[in-house]
Amino acid sequence: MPRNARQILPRLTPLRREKLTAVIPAFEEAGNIASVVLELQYLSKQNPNIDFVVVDDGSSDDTRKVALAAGARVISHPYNMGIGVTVQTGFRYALAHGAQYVVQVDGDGQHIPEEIEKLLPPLHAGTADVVVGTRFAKKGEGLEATTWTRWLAGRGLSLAIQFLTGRRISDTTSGFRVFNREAAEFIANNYPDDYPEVQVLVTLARNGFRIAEVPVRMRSRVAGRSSINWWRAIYYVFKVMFSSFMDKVRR
Amino acid sequence: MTNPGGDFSRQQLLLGQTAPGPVVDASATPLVQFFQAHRIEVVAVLACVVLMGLVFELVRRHQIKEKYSFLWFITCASLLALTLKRAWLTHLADALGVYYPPTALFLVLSFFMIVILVHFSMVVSKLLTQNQKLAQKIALLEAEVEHQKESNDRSAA
Repeated sequence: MPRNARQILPRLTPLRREKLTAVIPAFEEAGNIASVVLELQYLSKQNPNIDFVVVDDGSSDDTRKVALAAGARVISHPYNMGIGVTVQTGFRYALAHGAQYVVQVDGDGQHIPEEIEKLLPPLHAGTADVVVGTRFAKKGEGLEATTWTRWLAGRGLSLAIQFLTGRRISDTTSGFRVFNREAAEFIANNYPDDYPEVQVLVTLARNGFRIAEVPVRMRSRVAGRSSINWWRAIYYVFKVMFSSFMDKVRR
Repeated sequence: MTNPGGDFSRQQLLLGQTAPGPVVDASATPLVQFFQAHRIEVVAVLACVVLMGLVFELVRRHQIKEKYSFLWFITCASLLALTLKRAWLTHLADALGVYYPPTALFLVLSFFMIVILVHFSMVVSKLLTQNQKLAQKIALLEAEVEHQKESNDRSAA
């Protein structure tokens, strides 16, 4: 193999020929969306099996315009419906257009599209149905990209998840995750409304999907504010607990 | 037991059997006397009739769907029946262990209110789900139409 094989071959060799669609949920992200779109465009130029779609959750700012101008395909909700429904819309689109893998990349620029590559091996190997890109999995790697309140909430939720599913996921609130088609189809029909990141892991685990985690680099936000504050964090934890409990009672 | 008569009357009062009724003006006409003696019933009946009339009128004007009016009619009918048939109310109050029968009326009212409110929560949740599905479909269709338009433009050019 020539020494520069890495440059000759497409970057994402493990992808093979299967289509991967990146779903980018975005709400009021006019300041961040363009760079996310450009990064994904770069990626899909290198590997034509990758495409992506921005789902604008009824933003009142120029999120849609900016994303369109950057050259993205944009689906726009007529009004704000929350991250859960937004991701689900994107999944439905991806599945309808023949995606074998669906990856969620947040529209705030925290997730680095190049890192998608790192999430794929467990799916290709068939050892997992969902791979979560986590911030905490390795000490010292990417830890600067979080605030301590987030970290604390994250630890609590991590313990809760371990209790509910018997699985250890160190960063349960990470939205950066890849699903294979079966898991994506399940999600497209059963996605929780609000604060879905943790809930969906519980639901998937309970339905026999295998979850793996892979450490990835993440950035801190460039523009805008995170949607997490104290009250919401408390509501978040309660909601997750209650929904998981209901999930348990239903079956 | 130095005053058995007094004890007896106290017991009667507790059971609500000889509780003094509203003050009635002896010099007034019999009709006015009737209203004075049955104030609570008159108010309850009026309230029920007005509410029933309101709901009926709103259904007539298509401002309430028929299926959402039924719970209201059942509520009004029950309250009306219990107000007019004092014996039923007394039975109910006895069964519930309520000493003063009109209190049972409030209990019945609260019960129906709660049923109606829970029913509304169900309706709202259902509407929210349907609404989200609809908005999602519209967004996906819109994207599909744009996609089609683009490819049409490209093939035309």
